[in-house]
Amino acid sequence: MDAKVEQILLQVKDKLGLGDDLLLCEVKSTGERIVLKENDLGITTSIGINSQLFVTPKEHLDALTPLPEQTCLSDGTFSTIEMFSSREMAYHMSLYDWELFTCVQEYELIYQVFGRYKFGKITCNLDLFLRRFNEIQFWIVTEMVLTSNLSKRVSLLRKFIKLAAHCKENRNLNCFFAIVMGLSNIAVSRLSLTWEKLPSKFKKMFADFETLMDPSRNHRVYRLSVAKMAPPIIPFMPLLMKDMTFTHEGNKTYFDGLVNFEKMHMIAQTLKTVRFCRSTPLDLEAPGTLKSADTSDYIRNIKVIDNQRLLTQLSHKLEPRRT
Amino acid sequence: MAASGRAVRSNSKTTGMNVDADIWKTKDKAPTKDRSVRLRVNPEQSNDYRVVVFGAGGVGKSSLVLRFVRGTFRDSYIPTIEDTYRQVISCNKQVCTLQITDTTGSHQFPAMQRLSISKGHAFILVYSITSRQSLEELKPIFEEIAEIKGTDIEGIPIMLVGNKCDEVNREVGTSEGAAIAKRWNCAHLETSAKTNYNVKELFQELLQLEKRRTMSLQLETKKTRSQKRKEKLRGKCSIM
Ligand SMILES: Nc1nc2c(ncn2[C@@H]2O[C@H](COP(=O)(O)OP(=O)(O)O)[C@@H](O)[C@H]2O)c(=O)[nH]1
Ligand SMILES: [Mg+2]
Repeated sequence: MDAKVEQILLQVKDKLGLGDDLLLCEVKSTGERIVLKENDLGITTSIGINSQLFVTPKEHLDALTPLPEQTCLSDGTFSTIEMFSSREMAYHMSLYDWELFTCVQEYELIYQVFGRYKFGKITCNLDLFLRRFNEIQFWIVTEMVLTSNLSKRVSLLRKFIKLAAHCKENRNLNCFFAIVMGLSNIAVSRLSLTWEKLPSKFKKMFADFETLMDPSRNHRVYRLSVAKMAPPIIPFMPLLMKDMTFTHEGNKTYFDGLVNFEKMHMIAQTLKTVRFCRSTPLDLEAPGTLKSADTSDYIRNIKVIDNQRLLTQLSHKLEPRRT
Repeated sequence: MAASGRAVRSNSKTTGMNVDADIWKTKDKAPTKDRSVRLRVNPEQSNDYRVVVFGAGGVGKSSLVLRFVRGTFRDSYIPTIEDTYRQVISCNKQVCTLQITDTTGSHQFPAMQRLSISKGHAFILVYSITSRQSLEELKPIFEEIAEIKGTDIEGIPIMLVGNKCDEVNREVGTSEGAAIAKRWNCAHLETSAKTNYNVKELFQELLQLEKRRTMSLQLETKKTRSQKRKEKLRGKCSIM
C-alpha cells in the first residue's frame, strides 16, 4: 500500500521478467491513460473510481484499454433505492462519511497538497474520503440516467432532492454538495421532461440548493453560511483542498531564506477548520426502521459509471434533444 | 506585524463575518423579494463577468493573471488564498467586476470543474509553447466546455493561449496553436507573462469577443469616482 511506484515496477520486473522499460499506468473507464510518476507512493487509493492499474512495457502503452468490468454497468438500482426512505439513507450516508472524515489525519492534507513524495507519506484516508465525493456525485447521475421510465425518474429525482435536504440537516455538507452537483450535472439537468414534472416545491428547494453552490467570489455564499454552523460538520472537502492548494501555490514556503510564517499560518487555519468541524462527536438520531442494515450495506457499496461521455449519451437516449 | 494583520483579515473573511440572511435555516421563508430581483436581473446581466482559466500545472496561469491584475511577475511577495482575482472594468458603459478564476487542482473533482465551466462567461485555455503535453491536456477541457455550453458555445469568448513565448526551447509552433484554435473556432495568441508580452491584449481581445455586451478594460476616465458610483446606483435602480 505504501510502496513507491518504482518499487512496484522493480517487483514486477523480477517476477515476470518483462524487461527494463516498464511503466505503471492508470487506465480510466474513459480509456484515458495516466502514467504514474516513479517517485509517487500510496497510489492504490488515489486513482479514479473505476480505474485500474496496469504495468506495461513502454512501447505497448498505447495498447492499454479499459477492462469490460470498468465500463459495463448497465442496470440502475431504482427498485432498491425506492425501498429506503431518504432520511434513512441520509442517516447511513452521514455515518459512513463521518467515519471516513474522522479517519483522515490532519497531516494528510499537507502531504497531499505539498506532494506526497516530498514526505514519503501516504494519504490513503484522505484519498478515500475525497473519492467518496466523486462517487456520490457519479452515483446520482448514474441512477438518474439508468432509470428509463419517466415517472420513476421523476420520483427518483424527488428522492435525491429530499436526500440532499436531509444531508444538509445532518450538516453533512460534503455529501450535500455531491448530490446537488450530481443533479446539476449536464446529463441530469438536461432532462427537461423529468424536471417539468417535478412538483414546484421541489424545484424551489433545488433552486435554493444551487444558490449555495454558486462559486462566485470564491464560494462566498457557502462560506458565509458554514461560518455560522456549530460542529459536528462534515465539510465540503473539495473547497478545503482548493484553499490549501491556493495557499500553497500562491505563497512561497521560504522567503529570503526564512520560513514564511504567514503561509504556515494560513495552512494552519484550514487545518483548524477541519479540527473544528469534528471537535464534537456526531450524534444523529437513528431513524430506526427495519431496513437499517440493508440501507447501510447499500450506501457503502455503491456502483457508478464514472465516464461523463457515457452518462451524457445515456441521458440523450432517455430524452432525445428536442428540435 | 503587517503580516499577521493580513492573515487575520483573510481569516475573518471565511469565519468571522456577519451575515443578515441565514441561508441554511430560511429555506421556507426564502426572501421572495430577493428572488424576484434575481429573476428580473437576468443573471447573465449581473455585475460580475466570470473568466475561467484552465491549463496544466506550470504553464503560467497564475503568472498571467497576476501580471494582468497586479502588473508584476512574481517577484514580490503577496499572500493569496483566493482562487479569484477581481478587476473593475466597464460593461455596457457601467462598472462591472471581472472575476478571473484559476482552476488549479480542479481535475481531482470533475464536478467542481464542471461547475466552473457552467458558471463561466469566458474561458482562457493556457498551454506553454515549451510543452506539447500541455496543449494536449487542453483538449478534454475544450470538449467539456463544448458539451456543457452546447449550442451556446458560439457566443462564448474562448482564447487559446501559448504562454512562455519568450522561451527558446519551443515544442509547439505558432501555426500549430493557431490551427487548433481554428478547429475549435476560438481565438489564439502567444504571450509571455515574464516579459509582459500580449498579456493586456489577451484580456482585451477576450472581452471584445463578447458580443452580448460591450466590454472594455478602460473605465471612462473623465468621470469622477462619485459620478461613477451614482451611475452605477442608477443603473441598478432602473433594473429594479
Ligand atoms: N519564461 C517564462 N516563464 C514563465 C512565464 N510564465 C510563467 N513562467 C514560469 O513558469 C512557472 C510556473 O508558473 P505559474 O504561473 O505558477 O504556473 P501555473 O501552475 O499555471 O499557475 C514559474 O516558475 C514561472 O516563473 C513566461 O511567460 N515565460
Ligand atoms: Mg498557479
